[in-house]
Amino acid sequence: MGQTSIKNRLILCFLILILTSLLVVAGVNYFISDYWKAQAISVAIALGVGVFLGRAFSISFARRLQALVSLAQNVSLGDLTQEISVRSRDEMRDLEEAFKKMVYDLRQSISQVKMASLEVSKTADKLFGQVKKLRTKSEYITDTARIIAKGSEEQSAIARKTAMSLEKGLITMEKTANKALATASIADSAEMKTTEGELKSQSSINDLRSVLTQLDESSQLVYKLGHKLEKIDQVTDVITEITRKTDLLSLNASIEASKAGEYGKGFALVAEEIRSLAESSKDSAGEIRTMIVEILEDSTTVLESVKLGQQGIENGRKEIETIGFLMQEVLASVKQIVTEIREFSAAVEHQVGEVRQISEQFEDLSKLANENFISTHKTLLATEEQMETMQDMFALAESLVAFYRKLDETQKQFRLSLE
Amino acid sequence: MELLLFTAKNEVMGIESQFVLEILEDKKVFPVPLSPPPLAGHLYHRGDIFTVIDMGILAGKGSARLTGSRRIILLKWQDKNLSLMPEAIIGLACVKAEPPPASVVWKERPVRILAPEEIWNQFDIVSNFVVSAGLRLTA
Repeated sequence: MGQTSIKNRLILCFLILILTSLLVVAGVNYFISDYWKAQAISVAIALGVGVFLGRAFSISFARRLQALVSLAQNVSLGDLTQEISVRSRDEMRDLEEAFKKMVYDLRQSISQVKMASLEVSKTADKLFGQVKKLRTKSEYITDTARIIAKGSEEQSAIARKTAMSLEKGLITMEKTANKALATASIADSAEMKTTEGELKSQSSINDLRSVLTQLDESSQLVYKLGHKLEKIDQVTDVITEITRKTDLLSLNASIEASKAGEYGKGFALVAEEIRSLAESSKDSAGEIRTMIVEILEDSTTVLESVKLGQQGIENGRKEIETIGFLMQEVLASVKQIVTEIREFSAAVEHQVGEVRQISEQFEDLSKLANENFISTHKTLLATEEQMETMQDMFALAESLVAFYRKLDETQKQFRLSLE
Repeated sequence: MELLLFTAKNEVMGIESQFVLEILEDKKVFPVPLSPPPLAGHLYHRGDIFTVIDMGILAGKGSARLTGSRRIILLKWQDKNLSLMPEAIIGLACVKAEPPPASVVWKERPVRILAPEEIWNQFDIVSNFVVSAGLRLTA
């Protein structure tokens, strides 16, 4: 079926109106002879036909427009279930088809939007959950970054302190190395002095041996003196015995003289003198004896002293010999100590070099720790920024969910089917 | 009068020199069992037996034998033999007194003068016994 247009229909209506007017004019003229009357009747009939045709045309046109207006109003209210029947073949058909297409397109679009909003909703939910998890993790990361930053700061401080301690230790070790060198020099002099001491102890032992020999000779002399004194003591005993007997004899003589009376007086005097002489001799012998006893006691004391001296010197000799042996051992020990001190000094110097290297490495480590601290601090700042971004994302996800809800609410205004 | 002075436990005693026979030294004394304490024993000298009297014990002050000079004074009178064991013999001293008193002063010290007869009588029984026994032995 071919498509007509309103213009053609209007032209057709106009032609029909003209034709009708002509026919009416012809008929009126035929039946009515009065011209004006005929003219008036013709005009009236023509107007009537014209009104009728115009009304019919406008009614049909307005009805379809009204249907479209109603459809547009329903669409505007979200009712996309309206079906448009396309019956005409004019420009209204185009309009109706356009409307129909528009409704169809709208329905499709709304359906797609709905599906997309469903997807958006799911995505928003997922996004919300993910952002929530991400925010929790980001908070955990921030906290961890703070702990790491703190640890890094402490590590940096410890590294600095350790570097300082190592530096101090290095100074101490250098001092120790210097002291070890000084000790090695002292040990060298000690070795020399120990050698001198060992030689001197040998010399002392020889001197003591000569002193011992001299003391032996002296003690022999004292022994001889003691023997002589003992002999003198024996002689004194004899003298004492003689004086005692003389005393007794003179006493008996005195008694005999006294018995002789006047004749024995002279003899008594002699006897008395002899007795006093014997008494004097006895006293002298006693004094000599006392002196000998004292000398013997002194010589005994001297002998004991000499013995003690000999014993002491012998002990001293043994001690000095022991000291000599000890000095030899000390000398060997000192030599060993000198060797060990030199080895120790070398080891300390080597250790100083190694510790210096360690100190430098620790300084590098300290710098690294410092850089690490700065990086960690930056990471912390970035993490905090990330956290803020997460907060924004969380807010965005929340707004997306709110947007979906609004969209869903808006979608609910559209009816896509009769259900 | 000549006195022979001697000491016994710090007491100075004296006896007339006419009774003194001799002074001996280191003479062996033979003790007599069950005899009185002052009787130290007997000694034998040149054929005579002498009773030895410990003057320390006689003075009542302990034995003079233990601390003495080992000298013994032999007395002899009227065929009586007696000997005294003093602590120490001082010597002879001249005293002008007749008859001899019981005590004199010598160098400001009191001297007890002994009579041999009194001592003899004090130990008469034992001395006689011993002397007679000695005489029998010698006979």
